[in-house]
Amino acid sequence: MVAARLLLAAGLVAVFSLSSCSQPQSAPEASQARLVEALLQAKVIQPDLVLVHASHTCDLLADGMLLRVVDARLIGKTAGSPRGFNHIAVFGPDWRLVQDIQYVNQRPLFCKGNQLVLFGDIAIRNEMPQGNVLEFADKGATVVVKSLDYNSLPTFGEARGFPK
Amino acid sequence: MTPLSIVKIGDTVGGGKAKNNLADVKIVQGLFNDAIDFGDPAVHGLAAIPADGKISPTLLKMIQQYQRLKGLGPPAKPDDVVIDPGKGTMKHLSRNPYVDARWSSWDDDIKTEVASYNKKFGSSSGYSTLDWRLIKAQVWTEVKAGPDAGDWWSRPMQIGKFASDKGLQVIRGGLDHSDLVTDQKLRDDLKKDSTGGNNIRAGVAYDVHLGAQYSRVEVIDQPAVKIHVVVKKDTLDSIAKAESTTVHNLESLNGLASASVLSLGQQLKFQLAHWEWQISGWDPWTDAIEAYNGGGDPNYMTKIAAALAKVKNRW
Repeated sequence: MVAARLLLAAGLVAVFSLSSCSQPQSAPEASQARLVEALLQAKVIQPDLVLVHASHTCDLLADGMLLRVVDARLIGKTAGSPRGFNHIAVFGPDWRLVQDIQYVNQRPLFCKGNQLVLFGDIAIRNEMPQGNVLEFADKGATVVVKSLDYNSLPTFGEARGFPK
Repeated sequence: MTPLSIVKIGDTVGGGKAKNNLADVKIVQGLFNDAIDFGDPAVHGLAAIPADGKISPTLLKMIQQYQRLKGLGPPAKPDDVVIDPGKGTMKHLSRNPYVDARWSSWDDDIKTEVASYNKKFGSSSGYSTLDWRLIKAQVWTEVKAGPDAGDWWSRPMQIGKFASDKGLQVIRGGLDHSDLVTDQKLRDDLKKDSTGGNNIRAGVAYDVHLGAQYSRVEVIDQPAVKIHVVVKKDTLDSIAKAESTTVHNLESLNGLASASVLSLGQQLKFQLAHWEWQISGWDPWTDAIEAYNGGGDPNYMTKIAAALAKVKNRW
């Protein structure tokens, strides 16, 4: 099941990176050290938590500003089940935090223009409506939740123009 | 910390030279049945026995297996197996959550809190009655070791354990619309102390908050329609502020689009109105409980379900 989900995620990223012509110019690949440093400065990483994952998912383009989407997952040690602190941290070109959205299982998948597609529906601060797309405006200061039907996405073959 | 209360027997129970008084044997049989009922691995594969006070080969086998798997002595022949009053076996049997009352020490706090939310939101659209046993199962999951762990008494819901724990900050500060779920007294109490019974209160409040769906709703304060005459520099925003209404109300009553150009002297209808956040629905409690864990334990809901089954078996 997990493997299937990962494959789906990988496939979607591949499809969009190939099919979308409105992709922003990608930022230079961030080093892991730079990523962690930015998360520390933004206080996404807290000293009493365990950092179990940090990755640069993709880049958004919102009102001409390039925004870096970082997926950071942290664990808090408890007397029972570990507590999760999962973040979609969005940084400006200068690595200043512009949005910090906590999620449970709705990890970020891929960027398309000013939209970030998630794996599952999220409701920021439990505000309705919920959806699987975060649309950024005002250079990242504003986020609107929208929905995307995965079935509307082109298959890998369609994106590549393979004959049926 | 409340000490473990060990179940007492008057004299020895078992094979060989054990006294096996009727009352003592009945107590031991009952304790083993509790252990089986709870699913203690040390009695795995054994079936419940009648609590009739009679020593049987099955009971002796049960004692033997239990003592061996709990590390209470070298393997013995069934006839050599003996339980002494106040010794290791009785202590271990007394720790079973079905027997040890400390595992139920928060029941009253949980029931009180859950009942208050069920009363408050019972008629709220989409609200399903919260079962206090679900929270009991959550406490059992949050502090796996139970009452022998210090956290059981200080932070039974484990909320506020971390400086970065958003849950307690949200509830204590009435943030993210949680003030629609909680009352001021809880928020004040949590500013003084978030441990013990208040930790239960904070945890339940956070569960309920995570179950609530919040929507921004336009509220018409007075249905009477009034008129605003447009003057120089008016915008829909400035008119809405000046007349205590909303841009949406101006647009909808006057058939305007958001980018409409206003003209001097134009008469705009409006009602006194404002926007406010309200609870518009509820997620299933299982979703709220899963969100409580924050995605830290992929097996959290499986553990909750297992604990809930054990809780429902007795409560």
